Amino acid sequence: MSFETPAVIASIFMMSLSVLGLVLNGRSAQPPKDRTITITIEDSTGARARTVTHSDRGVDELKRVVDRLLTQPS
Amino acid sequence: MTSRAEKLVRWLMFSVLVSLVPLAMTYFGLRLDRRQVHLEMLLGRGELLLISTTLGAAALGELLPGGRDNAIGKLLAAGTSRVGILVCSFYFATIQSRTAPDAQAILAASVWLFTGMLVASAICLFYANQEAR
Repeated sequence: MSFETPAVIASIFMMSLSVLGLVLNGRSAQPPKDRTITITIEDSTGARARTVTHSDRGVDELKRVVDRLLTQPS
Repeated sequence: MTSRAEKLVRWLMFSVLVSLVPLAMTYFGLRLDRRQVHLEMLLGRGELLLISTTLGAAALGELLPGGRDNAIGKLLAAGTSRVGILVCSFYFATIQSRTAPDAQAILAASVWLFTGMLVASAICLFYANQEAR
């Protein structure tokens, strides 16, 4: 075995295993998030209040909901 | 450009390329002395192994401690980086202890290990950036 052979083997090992790790991205079991976001919107008197609760939704989706609520006529 | 790609390009520009600057300066210094420069002269004492170790350790530091999302991928990336650091360190120590090292063989081993470490580090950073999102 020449001097560089272990380095070649180690390098191929590193590249293949780490690429395998990349391929497995998103495939391993994800822990449950149990995320609930509650947003309450009210005017200065507190008379009109809206509460919206979402579970496991993305931030973008939640932003759209809030924008829609804000633009609704009171 | 996405944030992940931006961070990867930043790593390539400011970690990988900057760490290679001393080698480039050595090249220019030798050329200024009007000497014929070979890669063995630049990398023949295991310089690239030190750079590989530093890059791998930095990427590992970015990744750890990670969450439990994509645990298998992270374990593979972190494990290969750690193996790379150990192998590079072992090679460097072996080279330093030799009185007449074979520069050609050291060059080949260094380039192989550097390439492997670059891939492993990039994937460590991929998962570290995913963690930060």
